[in-house]
Amino acid sequence: MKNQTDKLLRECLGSGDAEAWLARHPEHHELLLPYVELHAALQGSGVPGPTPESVYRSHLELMRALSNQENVRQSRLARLPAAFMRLGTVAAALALTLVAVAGASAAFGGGDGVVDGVFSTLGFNSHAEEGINNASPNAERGRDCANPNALDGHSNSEDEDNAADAHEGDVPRCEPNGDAEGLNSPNANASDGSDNADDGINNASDNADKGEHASDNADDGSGNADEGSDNANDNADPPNSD
Amino acid sequence: MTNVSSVGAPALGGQPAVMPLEEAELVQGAKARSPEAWSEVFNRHYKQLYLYALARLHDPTAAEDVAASVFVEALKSIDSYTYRGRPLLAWLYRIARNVVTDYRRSQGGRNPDKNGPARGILRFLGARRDGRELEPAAPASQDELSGDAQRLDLKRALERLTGEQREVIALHYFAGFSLREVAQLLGKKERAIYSLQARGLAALRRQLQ
Repeated sequence: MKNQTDKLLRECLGSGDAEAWLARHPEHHELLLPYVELHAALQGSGVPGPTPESVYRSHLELMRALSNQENVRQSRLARLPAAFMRLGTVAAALALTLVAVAGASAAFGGGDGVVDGVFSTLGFNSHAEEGINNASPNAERGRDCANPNALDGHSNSEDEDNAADAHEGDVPRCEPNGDAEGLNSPNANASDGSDNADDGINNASDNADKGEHASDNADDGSGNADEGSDNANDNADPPNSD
Repeated sequence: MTNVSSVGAPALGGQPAVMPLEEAELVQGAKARSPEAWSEVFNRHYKQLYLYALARLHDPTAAEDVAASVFVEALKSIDSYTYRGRPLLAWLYRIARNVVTDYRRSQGGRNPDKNGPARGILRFLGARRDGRELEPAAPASQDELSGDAQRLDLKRALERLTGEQREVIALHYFAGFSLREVAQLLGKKERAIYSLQARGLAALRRQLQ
């Protein structure tokens, strides 16, 4: 019965005009009339709408909320560039520091080592290790390159002929032997040559200790030694021949 | 903000008909926090939302608070709303239903007002039962209202309906939506809304007997 009423009522109300539907179906009039009356009463209940003051207040509240939200958003946007600026300042200061350190390092001949040191301090350990690994072979190579020259100089200095004229300053001392006085003292000159050779050994040794010029001096010594040898022969020969 | 013209399909609540595209533009303006867009949304839908809240709460002051809150809540969550062709009012109605529920919960089931939307119905039903014709609408005295409320407690009867029946009755009879619009708001088929209306009306009549 209840379901039947609901079904008929749905049909009646769904027709769009309930009273006209009831007029067409008088057999259901008694059953459905109370519901149709309630339906009409509810539709024409004249529920009071909002007052103009109510509308105004509600609209004002909405606009206030909109304004507040916009203010919050604006203040957030305003804070954003300031944060970026602070970050930028710190980054610029860091970059300037690095450039200054690198510049100072270059000026004092420190090369990349100082920069590497800075990076190492900042935590770039891999680079620092790389620097260490690179530095060691160079040091080894420097030692390998320096020693042979020094030894050459030293070995050359032990050659008396080379050593005799290792210092060109000794040659003028031989020159007087070339004149007549040399006839009387050919061996003395030879003895001087021996002394000069000793000096040459000492000088060559000193130069060998100096390392970097040992090779040049040794070469010079070698060349001069040949000349010295020629000079000595020249000085000695005339008296003997005479 | 683009003015919304009155062309296209019928809109909800007897408002000027608008093309869906134009409502989409309105939503876009609302998302951009355009005051004009929000004013337009408010002017279109405030009255229906107020009447719905009144039908549920039976208190004009509470209904005003609720209706205003609906727009403020909508403003807060407009960024998460995506327009997909369903009327914007359907979204606003869902917010209104939640705000009403929260309000009723906060009131702890108190009875705020006896002079709600039932007043006109009570007068009508009282007159019919007494064999009188309905008089022109006139402000009823407190005594009259109290007497009517004792005989026919429409508000209580409404509260005894199922949730869906109550929503259909409130939206159709008090907020003034057509049954087709109610179907859109509730996301149901029109046929289902007719059934809910008929069953709700029958239950209401039984409660009022």
